[in-house]
Amino acid sequence: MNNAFSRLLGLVVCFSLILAPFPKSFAEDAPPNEVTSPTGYLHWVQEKAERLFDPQKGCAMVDANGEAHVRNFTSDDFIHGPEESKESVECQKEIAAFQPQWNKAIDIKKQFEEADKSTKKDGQCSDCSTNAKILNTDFLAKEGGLCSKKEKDRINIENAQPKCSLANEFKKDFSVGNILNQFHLSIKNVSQNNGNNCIESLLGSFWKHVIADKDAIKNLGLGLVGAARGLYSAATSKISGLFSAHKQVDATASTSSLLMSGMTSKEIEEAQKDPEKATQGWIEASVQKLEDFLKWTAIHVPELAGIDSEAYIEIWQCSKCGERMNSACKMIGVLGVDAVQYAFANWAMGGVFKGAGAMAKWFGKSAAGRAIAETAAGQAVIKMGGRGIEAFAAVSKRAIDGFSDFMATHPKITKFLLKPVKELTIGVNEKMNKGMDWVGNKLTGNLFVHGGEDAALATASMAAEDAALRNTPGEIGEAVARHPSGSSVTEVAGSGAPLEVSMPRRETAGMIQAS
Amino acid sequence: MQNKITVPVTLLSLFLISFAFADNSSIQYKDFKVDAQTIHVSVPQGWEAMHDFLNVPISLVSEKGLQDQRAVIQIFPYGVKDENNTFTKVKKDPEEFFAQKEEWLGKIGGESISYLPFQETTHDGSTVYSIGIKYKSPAGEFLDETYYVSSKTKQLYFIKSVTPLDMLKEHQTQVSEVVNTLSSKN
Repeated sequence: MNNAFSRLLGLVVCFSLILAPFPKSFAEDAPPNEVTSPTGYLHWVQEKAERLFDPQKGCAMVDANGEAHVRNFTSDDFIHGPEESKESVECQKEIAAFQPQWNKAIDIKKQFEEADKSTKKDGQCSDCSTNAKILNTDFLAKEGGLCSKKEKDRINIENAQPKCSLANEFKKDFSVGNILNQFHLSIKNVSQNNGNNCIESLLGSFWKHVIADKDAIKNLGLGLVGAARGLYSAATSKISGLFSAHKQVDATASTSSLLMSGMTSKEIEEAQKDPEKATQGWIEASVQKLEDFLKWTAIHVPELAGIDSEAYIEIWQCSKCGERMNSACKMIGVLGVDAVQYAFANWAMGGVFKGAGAMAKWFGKSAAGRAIAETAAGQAVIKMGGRGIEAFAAVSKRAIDGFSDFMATHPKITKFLLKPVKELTIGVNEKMNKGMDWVGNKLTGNLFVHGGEDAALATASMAAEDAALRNTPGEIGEAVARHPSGSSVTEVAGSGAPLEVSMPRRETAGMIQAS
Repeated sequence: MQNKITVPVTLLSLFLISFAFADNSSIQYKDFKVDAQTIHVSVPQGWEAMHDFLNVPISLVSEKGLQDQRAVIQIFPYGVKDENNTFTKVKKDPEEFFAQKEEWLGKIGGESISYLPFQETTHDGSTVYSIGIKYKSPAGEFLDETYYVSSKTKQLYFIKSVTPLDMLKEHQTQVSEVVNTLSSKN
């Protein structure tokens, strides 16, 4: 079954691992040109908080009573003239603009902590993407490796037992029969798979995209006929267009045709004799094949991004039989699901990579490689590549610990920054309202100084400006440029074959029906 | 002299007859029962037919070609009768199809080579709509075609055909034959 399953499993990850390891949204709040990873973001926020609360020149301060607030305006400050007041206003704007960034940092910290907690639960990981968030903070940061050589040898012997395999672990919680039942009862169930770990989701999602949904096709038939009879309006029938209605059906048929295309004669023979058993065999073999891939990943995937692979091999070597599932998830998650997705797809779909050099080259040049580079984790990993994954993990841990320490040691600042924007600037507003007319006139139109609900709008406006500054035009252009330009019309070899049109996607809009 | 002429003519006739027979014998027919419907399918010589594998009602696979891949045809009956020129009345936007296939190719790590335009063919009461895309993937280079068939007896079918490019010349005619049989004999 090797060839067919190579393709099959190549597609497993293609269809399943669709979540980026880090939410891209964090980057939207990041300052331009400074932050490339979540942990970098935490560093940046912490440093900025320290700058803002600098006892000598910070915009905010902790007073003698231990209360944090925007640096107080004394009458002395004001008699120095409008210039200094303008500076003060800028200061408040900075505090208000910083507040959402501070909140975002807290969110990131929570995500890391929750992910860490979830991966420790019963030796199972709940989600590959969640695992990516922790970046092995405590897993790889241990000095001297995860286990001793003696322990590795012992685990190696234990794991050599036939009963010890990822497939067996997988079957403990989620039997092949369950998968089949789900497909036979309703393919839709698979998409709602509440599996215990990411491997289940991974396989479940894959099979959903390979096994045809006959019910869906029958329903489409009814819908089509109904639409043609005018029984349903376009809005209610969902048959607004022939191709849009068949999107999933067509994709599944293309995928399973591709898999069938690589079947061996034996597989065909078995599928003819007992199609249900043959389908089951494919699912069973896919789990075993996945384990092979994960072992391969331990050695090769780190190399793809120029990372020291020792840490990955360590994960696998130190994983006892019952921990393999969790380790597998970590291995998928640490590098980033996108990275594994593309590496696995190419490895499994024909073994195009003969060595790490070729893989690294592919990573650098392929669209897949670029996709990885676009993810936050990918960027972070690539940036950190030279120092290795352990350094990366250590940095991650330092960032989280550092931020946590900062919050713990500065409770007043933490409390202050969590206040609504209106309260952050209220002290100043009161002073302004007490007759500082010239300051008020100077600041007319400044929403922050006048406080109130408009302040929130102004914060949003500033955030939007920041986001606009960070927009990189290259990201948009790349997808459009992928398809070859120019057009040509040639005849496909063979009698009765349709005309082949090679042209940019945009031009195909002009294609007409040929009767 | 007469013999000299007769022999080549006889040989030519024999050749033509044998060719005609060979042509007929290159296609076998097989009936498949899908729900209450019996579907008459042509199975080109050397191809295998599978029933209900991976939930596909009828699959036909050729022998392997140079790139170690087979041509595949999957047939899905909708199980409804077309009494109202169904396909004619539904919007068909080729741009939409190509965009979907590009999306799919992105997921399997493939890349499009060229597009085959949307076509409509009518014959003896049956109508066939087709559209396709050539692509390359880590598994090889393929032509992926979709057919929407309204048969002579107004049965509706969805057909997917995937042909390795190195087998295109050989198998394109066979794919057409399978589609035509489905549309004209069902």
